[in-house]
Amino acid sequence: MLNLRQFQTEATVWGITLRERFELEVNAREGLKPLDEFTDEDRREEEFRGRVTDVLIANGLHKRAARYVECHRLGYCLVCEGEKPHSFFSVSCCDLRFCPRCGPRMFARLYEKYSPVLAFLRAHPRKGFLLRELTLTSKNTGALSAEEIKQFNRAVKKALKSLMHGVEGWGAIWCDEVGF
Amino acid sequence: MGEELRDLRKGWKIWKNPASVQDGPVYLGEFYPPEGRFYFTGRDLRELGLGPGNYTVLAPEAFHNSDLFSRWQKVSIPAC
Repeated sequence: MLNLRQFQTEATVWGITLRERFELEVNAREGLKPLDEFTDEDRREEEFRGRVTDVLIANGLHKRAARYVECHRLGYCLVCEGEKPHSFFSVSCCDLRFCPRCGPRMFARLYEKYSPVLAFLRAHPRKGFLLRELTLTSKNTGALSAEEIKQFNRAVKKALKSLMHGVEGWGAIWCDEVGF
Repeated sequence: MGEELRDLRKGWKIWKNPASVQDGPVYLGEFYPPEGRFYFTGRDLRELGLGPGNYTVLAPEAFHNSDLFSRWQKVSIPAC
């Protein structure tokens, strides 16, 4: 469990940033891929994750920043309860939708969740209704806040309602994707 | 060695890796690699008086923004 206050104190005493304290936590432990086995690609990813971590910390998202740094670098041994418990290994994932490793898995989960709905609609067509995929895009300003995401979702609802004005019985599902 | 190059050699921070899951890294201080080098070997750390084990080294801030050179380095001192 992350002890943020302790990490902040240690970072100050040791003369490093909080980002570096998070990175130290991963690098100083025997991870899934130790530092001395890093390739150039791993180093590029480490540098990129560090930059994203700086942004998360600057926005007060400290625990999320720590999760992002340790994503796929550490693992856990999980042990089942019961008389004959078996243990198995689980990789530590940040589960953040903008993570290059976790994003595709999150998308696959979301797709799996709604695929029965889509299959049902295909199997039970309704006269006058068709299944359509729409892509709505907003301008990339280089920054994204929680309020801007809420504003975008409100705009999506407004656009769909405007598009389907006067039609009864329609529905829509959507997900937001953030690109770089 | 020029002034700029000397600056790059300043402030290499070294931690001894945690002995167990419950422990944390132990900060040992700032050290300097041997003349003409920008990294440490196990022998260097041994000469600094450190014992066998795994250590994590953080290069100075001057190495930041380099995609192909990690500021972090793992150095081991094998038991004799």
